[in-house]
Amino acid sequence: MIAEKNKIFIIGIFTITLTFTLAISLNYRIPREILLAYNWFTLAITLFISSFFLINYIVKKNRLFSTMSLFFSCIVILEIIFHLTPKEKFGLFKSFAMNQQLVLAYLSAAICLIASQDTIIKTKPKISYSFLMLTLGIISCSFLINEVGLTFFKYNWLPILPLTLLPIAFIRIKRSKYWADYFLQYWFLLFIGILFSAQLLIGLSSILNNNQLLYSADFFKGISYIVILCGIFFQFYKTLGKSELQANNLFLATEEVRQEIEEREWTEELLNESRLFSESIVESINEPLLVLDSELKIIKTNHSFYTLFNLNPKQTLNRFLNEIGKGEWNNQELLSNLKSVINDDVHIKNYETSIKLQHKSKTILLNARRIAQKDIKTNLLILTINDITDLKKAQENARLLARGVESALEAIILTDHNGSINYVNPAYLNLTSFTFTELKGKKLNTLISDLNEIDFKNLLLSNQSENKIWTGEATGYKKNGSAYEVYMTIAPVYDEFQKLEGFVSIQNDITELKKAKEDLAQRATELARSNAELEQFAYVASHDLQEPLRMVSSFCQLLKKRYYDKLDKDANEFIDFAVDGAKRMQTLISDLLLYSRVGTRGKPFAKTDCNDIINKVLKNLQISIEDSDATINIKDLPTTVADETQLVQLFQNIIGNAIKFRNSKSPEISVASKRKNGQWQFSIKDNGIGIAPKYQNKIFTIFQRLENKENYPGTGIGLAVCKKIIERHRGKIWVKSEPGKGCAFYFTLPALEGINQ
Amino acid sequence: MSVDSFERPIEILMAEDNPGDIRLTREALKDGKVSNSLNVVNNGSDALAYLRKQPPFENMSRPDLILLDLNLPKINGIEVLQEIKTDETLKLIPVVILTTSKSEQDITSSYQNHANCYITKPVDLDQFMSAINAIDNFWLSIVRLPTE
Repeated sequence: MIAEKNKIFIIGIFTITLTFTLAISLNYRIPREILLAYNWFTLAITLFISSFFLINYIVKKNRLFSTMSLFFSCIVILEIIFHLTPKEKFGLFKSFAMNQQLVLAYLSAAICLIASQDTIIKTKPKISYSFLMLTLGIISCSFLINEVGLTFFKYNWLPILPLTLLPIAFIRIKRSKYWADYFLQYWFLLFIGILFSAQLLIGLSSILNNNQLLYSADFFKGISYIVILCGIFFQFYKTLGKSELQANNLFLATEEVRQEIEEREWTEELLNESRLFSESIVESINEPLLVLDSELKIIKTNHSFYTLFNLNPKQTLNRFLNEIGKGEWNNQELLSNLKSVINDDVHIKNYETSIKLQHKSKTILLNARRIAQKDIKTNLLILTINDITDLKKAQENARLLARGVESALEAIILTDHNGSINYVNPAYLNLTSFTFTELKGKKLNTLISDLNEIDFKNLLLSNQSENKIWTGEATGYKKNGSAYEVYMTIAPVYDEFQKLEGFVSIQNDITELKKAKEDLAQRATELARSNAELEQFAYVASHDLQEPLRMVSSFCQLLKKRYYDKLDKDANEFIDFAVDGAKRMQTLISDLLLYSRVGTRGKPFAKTDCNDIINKVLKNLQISIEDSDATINIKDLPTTVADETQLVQLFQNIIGNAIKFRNSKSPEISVASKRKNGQWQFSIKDNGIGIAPKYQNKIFTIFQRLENKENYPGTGIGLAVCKKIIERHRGKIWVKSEPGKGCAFYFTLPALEGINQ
Repeated sequence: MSVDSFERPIEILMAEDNPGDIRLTREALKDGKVSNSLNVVNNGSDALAYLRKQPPFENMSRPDLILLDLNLPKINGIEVLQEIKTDETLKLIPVVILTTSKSEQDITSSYQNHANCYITKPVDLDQFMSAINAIDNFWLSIVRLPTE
C-alpha cells in the first residue's frame, strides 16, 4: 500500500513538473522569476543527487556511485557557471556549458545503464565491456566532433548522442529476477529521451539563434534530473519495508555485498535448477520414495508412493510416517531404525519387511540414508521402497518348483535343445548311481535306448518336432550298465519368446511295476486258465461221470425190470436203493452240468426284451402255474442286454421256486423293475413260505437245500445257477424275506443306455 | 412191415466202444419187431475196415444201417462218417449217430457230414430202449431205402 501511494505521489509530481515545463516551453508568458526559481530548483535537485552519491561513495566505497558523484558534481559546477553567466554575453559559452552538462549526464546514464545490468556483465563480460567501451568512445568522439563543429561551423551535432545509448538500453536483462533492474532500465530510457529533447532544443536554438528554445532545452534538462530523481525515489520507496538486502541491492550495497548477493542468487538459481531436476527425478522414479525430516515427517514423496499406498498428497505430506494410511508404517522397530539413520548417519540397506496393504500382504525392501544438509540444522532422510512381493512370490514359486523337482520320486532330466543334459534331479542320480558331473553335457539318448529310437532321436535333435511330446516306455541304463524300465515323457521347453530352449524328461521307474504287471497278467492268465480248467473239469467230470452212471442206472433198471420179484424181498429193496441212488446221482450230475455251462456255454449278450423272456417262462411253467392256481402280476419290463437263454433260466428258476415253495394259499407272484444307478433292478415277490434270515445267505450256494425232499423236491442248484447268471451279467442278486410271509428276490441287470455309453 | 424182413434179417453195424451200450442196444433190438443181426466194431478203423470188407471182415455183408458213436478210439466217429459219406458205394447206407454228446458242435458237424440222424443216448433205460426201437422201426420198417 505504501509503495502504491508513493508511486501515485511520485507520478503526480512528475506529471505536474512535466506539464509545467511543457507549458513554459510552448508559452513564454510564464514570468521569468518562476523560470529562474525553477532553474534553481533543478540545480538543488542535482546537488542533492550528487551529494547523495557522494555520501554513498564515502560510506559504502561504491565505485559506481563515486563515478556518478563525480559526474554530477561536474554537472552542478557547469550548472552554476551556466546560471551565473549573463546570457547576452556568453551565449556561446552558455551553450557550451550546457552541452558539457548534457554530455556528462549521458556518460552517467550510460554507466548507470551498464551497471544496472551487472548480471549481463557477469554472464557475457566481454560483450558487455566492449559494448561499454564502444558507447563511451562514440560519446567521446561525438563530443569532440561536436566541439569542432560548434567552433568552426556553429553547428551542434550532439542530438545524435543519445542514440548511442539506445542499444545499451535494449540489452535484455535475462537472468535477473529483480524487477527493479527492468524498471531502472526503462526509467533511464525516459531520462535519455528527455535529454535528447533538451539537446535537440539546444541545437535548434543555436541554428535559429532563438533564446526561447535554449530556455526550453534548459527546462528539459531540468526535467531529466527530476526524472532520475523520481526514479531514485521511486526505487527507494518501492524497496521500503523490503529486506535490507534488497534495498542494498539497489542503492546501498557495496559492490562486494552486491556481488555476494548475486553469487547467492546465482547459486540459488543453480540450486533451484537442481531442485527442479531432482524433483523431476523423484517424481518420475518408479520406486516409491519418501523424504522425511528428523521427526519422520513426510516432506516429499512421489507418484509411485501414492499409487502403491493408495494415498493422496493431502493424506501424506507433512504427516508423520507412522500416522499415514491405516498405520501401515507404525512399526516400532522400523521407526527406530529410521531414527538412527537420521541421528547416527547409518544406512539402511535392503531392510525387508512386510506391510499389509488393501488386504494384501506386501513384501517391501527398504533403503534409507541421510541426506547431507550443510546449512540447515535438521537432517533429512531419503527412504526408497521396493515392492518385491511379486519378486518374492516368483522366488518362492521358483524355490517350490525347484524343491518339488528335487524331491520328486520321478527322475527328471533337463536338457538343452540338442539333448545334452543340463540338470538331473536326485531321484535320477539315485536310480542310476551316476553323479551329476558324469552326466553333464551327455546326450540324453545315450542313456536311454528305446524300441522306437529313430523317432526319439528326431524329437531331440530336430527343431521341426517342437510341439511333440514323446511318451512311452523305454529302457534306461544305470552306471553299472544294468537296464531299468521307465515310463518316460519328453516334452519340449520353451523360453518366453517361444523359442525351443531344451527338453524335460520325466521318467518313472516302472521296472517293479512292469514286473508286478507281468506277474499280475501271468496270474490273471493262470487264474483264467484254472477257472476254465475248473469249469472244463466240472463239465467233463459231469459229462464223463454220466457215462458210467448211465451204465449203473440202466443196468440197475434192467435188473429191476427182469429180475424183480425173482429174488427175495431184500434183493428187491437193494435194487430199489440202487435205482433210486443212480437216479439222484443223474439229477445231481445234470444239474452240475447245467451250472458249469453258465460260464462255459454262455452266449454273447444281446438286446433282450424282458417281456418276451417272461412270456417264455410263463409258457414253460404253464403246467405248474395251472396246478398251483398261481396268479402272476407283471409290470411292464425293460429291455436289457443279456444272454436270453440264461435270462429265461433265471426268471424260470425264481418264479418256479416261488410256485414251488408255496404254503397253503395259492401263490401270488409279482414281477416288477425300476431304474437304479444306471441299472435295472428287478424284483420278484411271492407269498410263499419265506426264508429264515440265517439261511438267506446260504440259498445261493450250490446244492444248498433248506427244505426236505419229500415236500419240496430238488437238488438246490436253481438259485446257485441264478447267482452265476447274474454274476456273468455283472449284476447282483439278493433276497429279503420273513418266514411265513413270502420272500422277495432282487437282482440287477445292465441298462441298455449304460451299455451304449 | 417190409417184405424184405421175411427174406433175410436186417444187417446193423454198430461202432461203439462201450460194452454196456452194446449190450443195452442188443437187448433193445432183441425186443424189436424187425429181425436183425447186430454186428459190432469197437473202434473207427475197424468200422471202416468192416465196411470196406478188409481183413478180418472180408466175409461180412454190407450193413443196412450204421449206428455210429462219435467218441471212438483210433478214428473218431466224425472221421468215420466223413469216410462213409465220401465213399460212393457206402454213402447210401443210412448212418445214425448214437452218442452221449449233446454238444451243438457235434450235432452240427455230424449233419454237415451228412449224418442221417443224430440221437443222444437217453440216460433212462426205458427211454434208451424206446429210442433204439424207434430207430429200428423208423429206418428199417418205415423208410424205404435204395436197394443195392
